[in-house]
Amino acid sequence: MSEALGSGAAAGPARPDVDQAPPIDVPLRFFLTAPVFGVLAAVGLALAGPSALASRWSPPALALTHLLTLGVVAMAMFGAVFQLLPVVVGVTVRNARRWAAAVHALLVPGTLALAAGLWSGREAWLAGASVLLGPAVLGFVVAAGGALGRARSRDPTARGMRLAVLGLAAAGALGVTLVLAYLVGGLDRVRWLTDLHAGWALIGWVGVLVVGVAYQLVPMFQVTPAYPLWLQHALGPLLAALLVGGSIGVAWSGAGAGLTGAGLMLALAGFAGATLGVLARRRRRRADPMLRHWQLGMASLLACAAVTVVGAAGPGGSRPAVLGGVLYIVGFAGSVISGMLYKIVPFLVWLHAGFQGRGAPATLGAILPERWARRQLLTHAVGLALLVLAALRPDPWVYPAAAAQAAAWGLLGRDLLRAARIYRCGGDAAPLSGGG
Amino acid sequence: MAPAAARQRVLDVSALPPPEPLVRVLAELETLRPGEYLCMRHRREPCLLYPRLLALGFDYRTRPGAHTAYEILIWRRGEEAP
Repeated sequence: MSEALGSGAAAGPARPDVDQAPPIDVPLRFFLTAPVFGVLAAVGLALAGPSALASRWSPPALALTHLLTLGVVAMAMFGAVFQLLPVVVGVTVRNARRWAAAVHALLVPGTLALAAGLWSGREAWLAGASVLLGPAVLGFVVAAGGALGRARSRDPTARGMRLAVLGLAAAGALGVTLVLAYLVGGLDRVRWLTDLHAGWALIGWVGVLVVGVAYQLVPMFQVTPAYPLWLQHALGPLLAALLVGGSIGVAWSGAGAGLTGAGLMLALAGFAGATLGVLARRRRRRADPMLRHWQLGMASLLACAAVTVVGAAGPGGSRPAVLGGVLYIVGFAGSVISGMLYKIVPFLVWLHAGFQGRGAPATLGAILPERWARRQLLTHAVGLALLVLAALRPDPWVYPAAAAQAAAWGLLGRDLLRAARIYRCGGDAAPLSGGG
Repeated sequence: MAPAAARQRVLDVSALPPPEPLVRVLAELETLRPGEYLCMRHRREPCLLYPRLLALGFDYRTRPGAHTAYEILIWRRGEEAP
């Protein structure tokens, strides 16, 4: 009982300090841009119509997928990593503002160029995309990887973030290789790399990062018990081992991608089940929108795992791949990111406004009323359901799905912008304080 | 000087999500009378609170808690440490 863990000014170097946290514009530039790409993807879906969901290989499907994975998911996750490194790992990115500005400035036009190139097949767009996106991903890997390399923490979150950054590096290298192969007319020889690229991007980067960060954020914000220790220590290395082993197998024999994918998704299904379990045992009984976003994300992950396993065992075809992609990218990643942004952005505004003496509102609800998040959650859930229907029967469901997706991402963007404006206006939340 | 237990005020924030623990403890500290100290019970270390406490003229000590994972004892700088 009497053992002191820390006192006075003697807080250890691994402890987060708001003074070490990056300026608020570092994460916000990514967070506020991500929903714009979601709206763009929805508009693209409406323009392309049913053909966008006919096959994962159709030009509009490839373009829209990258608008979502780079423009929304990577955009939000880059911002989250810049912000969370000091909080959950105890290290900061040196010169974070410069790195963030440079990566953001490359990622935005690079993603637009890639989407235009994949949709149109025009080589100039693809060449421009590789010139922009390669350095964008490399810059983030160097910035975040450098900070993680200095971190003393060896806990599952730090390990997960390190693995995720390596996963992103692999996915980026594979993606640039595919674009360069297309440009020199050699795509057919390396087409097998596409499954590896997708696996490293969606699972090695997105999945592993969400898993690692969830160990901290879910108990912190939802007042749940900790995830089981064995799961925290085993899941990241298991996913990494499956990805590396599966990649070697595919490279060696040209087969096994489906089986590896099923194994990876089963491992992630275990994470989804554990998350739903700890959420069910939360001490705070009141259900806020973040809870529902995460429950929807985990349900989508379980459904995606089922579709992937059934697809691997069945005759194949494009339908399971499209449906699995919708469930993973929009259902899992989109839900988790939306829930995270509705929690983190008002928290950042509160924290930075308060610690800079700007007179922060007393509660997060005064910055971003909960009813706004509930409205977006409902719209997002309807949009996801319609998108699942559209994946099964593109005509006519693709059009209402696109409209609902545009509305959901648009609401997210508008709400985050309103919250950010409170910070710019010096913590004055009075016009917004009626809700939540 | 009164015994330590009599000078103690307890604030249990272990079931609150961020930033409510910080808001509550900062409000409670404003009402702390001379000679009193605050025992904050929390499920995790409130690392963001520490620099704020020092800036406001308080000292603190963190220890494992009997009721929650952490107990943070907070008192005005210059007063007797609990």
